[in-house]
Amino acid sequence: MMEKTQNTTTYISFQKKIVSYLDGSLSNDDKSEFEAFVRTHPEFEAQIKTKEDEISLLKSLIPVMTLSKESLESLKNEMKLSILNLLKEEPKSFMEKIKFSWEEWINR
Amino acid sequence: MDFFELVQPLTDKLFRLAYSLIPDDLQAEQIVIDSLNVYLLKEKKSILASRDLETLSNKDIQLARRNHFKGILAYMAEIGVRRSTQLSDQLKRTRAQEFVAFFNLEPKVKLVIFLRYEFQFTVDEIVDITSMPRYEVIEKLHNGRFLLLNDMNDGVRP
Repeated sequence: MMEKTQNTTTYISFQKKIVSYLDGSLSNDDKSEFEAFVRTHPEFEAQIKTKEDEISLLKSLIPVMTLSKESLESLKNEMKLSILNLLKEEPKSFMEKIKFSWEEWINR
Repeated sequence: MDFFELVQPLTDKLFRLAYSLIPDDLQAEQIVIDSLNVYLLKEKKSILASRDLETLSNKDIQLARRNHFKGILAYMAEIGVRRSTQLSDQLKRTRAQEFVAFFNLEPKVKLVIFLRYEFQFTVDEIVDITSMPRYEVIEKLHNGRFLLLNDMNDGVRP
């Protein structure tokens, strides 16, 4: 009787871990323990499948917007400009200064 | 390959997260640019130090891209959540017609849900990106999941 109660408690505690397992929020030890439990309880896979379906449904509720080709290109150009302006190395010599100014003028 | 070539394939993904926080094309684009700018300013030294991308293998390039992605996302998380909170009144007036349940979530919940289920980041990676404590990330994931699925079930009921 006591063993049955213990088994039920273990079963329920693993049931509660399904979402955390799918979320990747279990620690490595808990994850190994969970996977070992699933291997010995094949019927448990059906419950995991149900939760996976729930997560697929959840994903369909998340907006996935994409930019038009033109807007994407324009955003990329703005990013390029930011990188050019902000990642500029400081000229170390007079010659480098001239070189950088020349490149800047050409890229205008 | 220069830094722009390294990060430009991320443009669409960056925009998608920004848009999930603020469903407005212009605002979302601005968040992308602002996050990149802050990242460039704060990480300039390390970016310039690791600029020799020609010598990297494909695998290392992927790794470098992913690291920069997470770096930019960290600033986007901060900027996007703050701006989304500031613009909440304005956003209520121009609320998107689709994905209403998602856009009704609080900004941090939207962020965590998007990072987990759209970008497939692990909870630990989300902790790194958002600087939230682990328990808070797990709590927000749980709340977001509950609210989204519950809202859908309510909608289905007659």
